Amino acid sequence: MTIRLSEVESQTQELIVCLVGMPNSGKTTLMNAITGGNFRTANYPGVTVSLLRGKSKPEFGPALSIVDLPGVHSSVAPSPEEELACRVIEGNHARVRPDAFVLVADATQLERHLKFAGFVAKQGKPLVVALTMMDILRRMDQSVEVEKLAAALGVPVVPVDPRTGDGVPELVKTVHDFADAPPLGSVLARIPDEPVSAFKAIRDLLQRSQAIRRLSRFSRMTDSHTMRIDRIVLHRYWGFPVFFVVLISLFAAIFWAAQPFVDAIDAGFSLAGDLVVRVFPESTIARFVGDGVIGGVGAVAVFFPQIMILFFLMTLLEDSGYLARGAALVDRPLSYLGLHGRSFVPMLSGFACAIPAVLAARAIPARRERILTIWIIPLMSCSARLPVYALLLAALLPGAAWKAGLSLAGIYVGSLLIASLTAGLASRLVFRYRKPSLLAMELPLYRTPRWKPILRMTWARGSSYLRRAGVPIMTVSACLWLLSNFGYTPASLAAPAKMEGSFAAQIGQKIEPMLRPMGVDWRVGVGLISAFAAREVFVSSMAIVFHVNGDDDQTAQAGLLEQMRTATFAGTSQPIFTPSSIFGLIVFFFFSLQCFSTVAVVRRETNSWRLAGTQLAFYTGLGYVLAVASVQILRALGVG
Amino acid sequence: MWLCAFVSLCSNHDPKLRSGYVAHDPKLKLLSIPTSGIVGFVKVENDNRFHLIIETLPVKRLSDVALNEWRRIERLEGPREDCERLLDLGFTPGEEIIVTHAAPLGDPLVIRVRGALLALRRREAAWIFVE
Repeated sequence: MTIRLSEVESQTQELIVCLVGMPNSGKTTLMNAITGGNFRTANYPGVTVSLLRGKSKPEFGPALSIVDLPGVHSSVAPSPEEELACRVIEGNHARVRPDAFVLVADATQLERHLKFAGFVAKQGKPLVVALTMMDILRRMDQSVEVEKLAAALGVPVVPVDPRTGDGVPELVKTVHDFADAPPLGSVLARIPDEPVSAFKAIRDLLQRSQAIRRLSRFSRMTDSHTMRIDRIVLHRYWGFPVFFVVLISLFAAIFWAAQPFVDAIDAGFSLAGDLVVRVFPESTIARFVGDGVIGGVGAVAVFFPQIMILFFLMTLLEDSGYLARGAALVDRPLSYLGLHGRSFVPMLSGFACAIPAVLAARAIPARRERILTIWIIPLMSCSARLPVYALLLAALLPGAAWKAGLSLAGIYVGSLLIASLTAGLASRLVFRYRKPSLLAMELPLYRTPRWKPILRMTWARGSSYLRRAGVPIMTVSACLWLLSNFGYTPASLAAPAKMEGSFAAQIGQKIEPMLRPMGVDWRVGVGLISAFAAREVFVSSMAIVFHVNGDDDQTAQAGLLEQMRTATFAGTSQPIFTPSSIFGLIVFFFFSLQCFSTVAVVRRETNSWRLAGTQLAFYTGLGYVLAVASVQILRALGVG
Repeated sequence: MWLCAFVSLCSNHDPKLRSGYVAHDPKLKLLSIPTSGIVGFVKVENDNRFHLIIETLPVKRLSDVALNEWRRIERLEGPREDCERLLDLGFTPGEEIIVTHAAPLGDPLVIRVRGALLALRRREAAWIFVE
């Protein structure tokens, strides 16, 4: 075969093959199967709404560069993601110039999925049709005769099962064979773009091909399996109980199942940090590496189990087909708030971490609803707030674990309510409530999940998260370490400064007048500033500013609580941590957007600083005002 | 559904009759009664007029039809962009569709079209008129 030189990124010599098709056709799973999971997101994965790029596995012959395009319903009235896909297909994208196309079509919905083939065939590039979901077709006692279909369409048709890998080598071979052949899709190219006549043309084509027995029955066929499950899942009374059970199990898994891993990672990193500091004693660099860098990596890594479990369960739910049902179930209440059924997944992810949540918001078609969803995501009580709440609640309600637990549950429910309220108000006041955009959400047929593709997908999403979110968190925490360990005086630059003389302390002391109304002093201010790296850093920096030395985690927490109990404002005997000031801190953490990574991700997703900046200022300002207000009101009421 | 309309005395060849002109009941002033729908004429005693019996095809909004009944799409009528999207999704006139489920709050509806299951809100389903 001839090798074409394309002008694409660093002159790759591989053929560039684009996977195109409608949403839910199984493109990303096929991508996984062809590349063996070896692909990079050219952008972050939401629920496949970006370009994925990878190389085909070596056992499939000469490497192909595979690009997975966002799912497209229509080339006529596209959403931003569809527009991107159409631009690539038409060859108008600056960096991805396709040499051949693989149209991924769901065999159970041939008419709908072939409609788009016309647009692809018109580009005059080689085209191969990959038929997926053949197993479901068999389950429905139907079949498609592939040879007849290929003859009628005028392009090669290969049945594949991307989940087991069946047919994938044949597909890649066919792509190789046909990549240099003159384009064959002349029959398909005659399919008009306009939907009514396009559907008619395709039906005629299928009729003539005789590839499907009893075509009239084909479009009426039902999957009894799916109907049976939907009868319960979408049941008038059972629908919501099932939904809540699924949600509660999801949360339970994220928080409890992840806990042992979180503890192990936490212990591992503090051990590694200690080791570096002990092996190279009295060296600033060792302390920087041990506390700043390794501590920073650890701050990211402790989220990893939760994020992985979240991604795993989300992929599992998505793959089985339930996620779309869940989104449909909550569409009614969400659309009342000016959101969309598809806001459900971002909001749910927001309880683990705002970053994947903001990225998942890409799946929302209408810009107004996407912006509104992104707007409320920081209010969702993310898992980075959990250690902070745990510390503050333990200080507020000493010795009553069940009260603290109950309050924590209240904070979670409260965050959902406040977010709903915010969305409802914002959609009416700021966005001027309009009728919601079209729901028109496809509910995939239920399938038994396959572990391998799910694990692969989880890994791809999780490692991508680590790369994207990890770097900013690590950078910020390293900077904060430098700030809190170096001071202004030249002498202290050589030897690590005492906390009081550090830049961080100086900044803290500068803003102390602002902190006084909240009932706290500069030391808490340092904690609050450092929490912008990641909220849970608050706990460790509080331990630093209050000089807590503990060997293992448990005593550190207990020691910190003890220190907090006895801490007083400098030069007085007035305690800092009174019920009112602790409550004020909880209120502050509840509202404020203390997460630079989230701000950065929002900026990138909306492509402007406007929303990100407004969000940062609004929520942090709101948190401050409400914290001050609640402290002052509580004091006025005599709570102390 | 059977509907009885009064038609002015006229012959079979009267163009007014073919176009379905209904004289005496302004509510039934249908401009295009489908020719196939005309079942017959009845001569009523002591009435100097023909009574035209037509079988009307009741056109309903998809949001009003019962669950699990196959219906043929007659037309779409709603915001242009949204209707174009519905066409793209496969809701083209002449196509047979069925509402299979209604979500717990009665909204959205789950509709089967061309082998796919799609969730549509009630207000969106109301743009689809079915026979």
